[in-house]
Amino acid sequence: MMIVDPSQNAKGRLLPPDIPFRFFATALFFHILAWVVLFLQSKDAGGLSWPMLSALHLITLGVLAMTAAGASFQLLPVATKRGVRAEGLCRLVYWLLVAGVALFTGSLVHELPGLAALGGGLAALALFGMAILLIDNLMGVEDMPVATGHAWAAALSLLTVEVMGGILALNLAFGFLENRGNLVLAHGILALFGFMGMLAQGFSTILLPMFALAPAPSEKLARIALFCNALGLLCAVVGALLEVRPLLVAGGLLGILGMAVLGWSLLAVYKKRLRKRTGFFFLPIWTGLAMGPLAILCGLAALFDLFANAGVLFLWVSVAGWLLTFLMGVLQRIMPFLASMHSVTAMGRTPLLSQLMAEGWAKAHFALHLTAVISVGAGLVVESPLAVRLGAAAGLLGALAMSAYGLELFKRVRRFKRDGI
Amino acid sequence: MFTITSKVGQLLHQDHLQAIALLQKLEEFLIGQTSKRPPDAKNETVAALLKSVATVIDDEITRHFGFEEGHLFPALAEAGENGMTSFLAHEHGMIRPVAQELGKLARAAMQDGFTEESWKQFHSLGLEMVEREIFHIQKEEMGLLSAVAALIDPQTDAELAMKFAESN
Repeated sequence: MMIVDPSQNAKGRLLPPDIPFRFFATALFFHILAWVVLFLQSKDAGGLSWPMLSALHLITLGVLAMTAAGASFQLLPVATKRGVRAEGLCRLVYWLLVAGVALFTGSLVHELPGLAALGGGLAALALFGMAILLIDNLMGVEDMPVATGHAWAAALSLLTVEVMGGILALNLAFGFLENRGNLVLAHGILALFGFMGMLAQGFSTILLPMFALAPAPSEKLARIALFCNALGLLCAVVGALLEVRPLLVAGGLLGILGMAVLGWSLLAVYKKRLRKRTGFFFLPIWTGLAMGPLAILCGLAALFDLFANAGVLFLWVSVAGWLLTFLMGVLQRIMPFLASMHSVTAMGRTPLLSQLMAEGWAKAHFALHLTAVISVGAGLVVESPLAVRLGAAAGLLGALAMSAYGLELFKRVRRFKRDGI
Repeated sequence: MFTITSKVGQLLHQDHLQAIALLQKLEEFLIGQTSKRPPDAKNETVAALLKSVATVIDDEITRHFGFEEGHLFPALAEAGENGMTSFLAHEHGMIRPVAQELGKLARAAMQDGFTEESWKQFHSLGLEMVEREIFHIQKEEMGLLSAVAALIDPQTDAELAMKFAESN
């Protein structure tokens, strides 16, 4: 039997395993750290203090962006059928992002504006490298217009987020902005709904049908969703920058419409799936996707002051409810998928996915994560530090369970390779 | 999965559909039966399933793999796609002996029924076959069929489709 050397695949579209897995493992570490910071700083429930900003950025930059980088470096080339041309740049992005996130979030906890600005700058540089790699891979790709359209929107959003994030980071040190509120809101919308949201939605049109062996979603509906999402994003960002509430509202409504259309078309193909027994990981994926429109509804509630702390709730549901839940579900599937493809024994065998996936840990993570999302969300609304702290404790246990899932995967791969079956 | 535009891609996809349908039926049966209770191989439903395992899983999958390795992968290699095809060929190498052994056990059971030992082996191999082949089909549906659509010109596509039809 011919034995495939992973390095041979690296010349094609499968990257050496150290590239995606270094991002995933670090994301799992920052995931734990984010909940620890939130747990320790829960006295600030209801406001966005510096330590709360630290916890928030540990999730957005440390978990979401880190996972998105590892996943997109590996999955986008598979979708576009074009290999990554600069593996060294992927590794550089990693080190810059790790250093940037650690310095930025650590400095926020200790309220050190100068170092926070430096850390923010490093993270911005890392994401700039990521944007270059994404754009390089997307250039000239004509098929799969929906997935690549979302990826283009994500890459362009990322570049703009860079500029805005850089200005905000410098402002931490030099304080030159008179009113940074508009820029903070635009930065948040673009980072969550532009960069991360567009990537999540674009990849879901490829990954969900692949995982379930289902047909591709309707291209017409997916194009409508992309149009609504992109226009909604533009309206919301311009509305935030210029403080035009009707534009923000229009952006929110278009975003809900786009997500609903895409979600409906994905659900329709899922119902037609060939693989009836889909794994547990689909539950966090669907839950995450369902929380996207809910997050925007919270944002609209904040615009009309419908209840106290709706703005913080909007941020929380977007970050932890929608994107974090969705990405953890995706990670639960793509980590064993990639590990299996890289685990060829001396006898030329690869492990079965069921041999690698420790679903018990995945289930524990989901239950604890959902408890955390609800409890922290409620705590933020009613300004109860106790509810936030209890939620953060559940989130921390969930993050530990998710790390145990990753660790168990690593141990099982090693055992499989060692036994050389 | 992608919208399949090539002729040979559509034929391969049809084969995948047939294989998945049977694999899922086999999976349901194996899970319901458990490894400890050998079924009655003379039972009409069980006998029909064993016959399908022997023909579709062993013969048809062997034919499908043979076509890909003999005709499709070389055509893709000529178009510059080597990494993915060598990986898929490697997976064929892992699946083929499982399919053949499973086919052999199914044929033996059709004649003499299952012993506790042969059922345990069939149960374990069957579940391995289901997982390996479905995971393999996922990769082919995602990577191979889109590569065929992107890299194979219409004339080669028609020739390959003809060869595939002839191999049936």
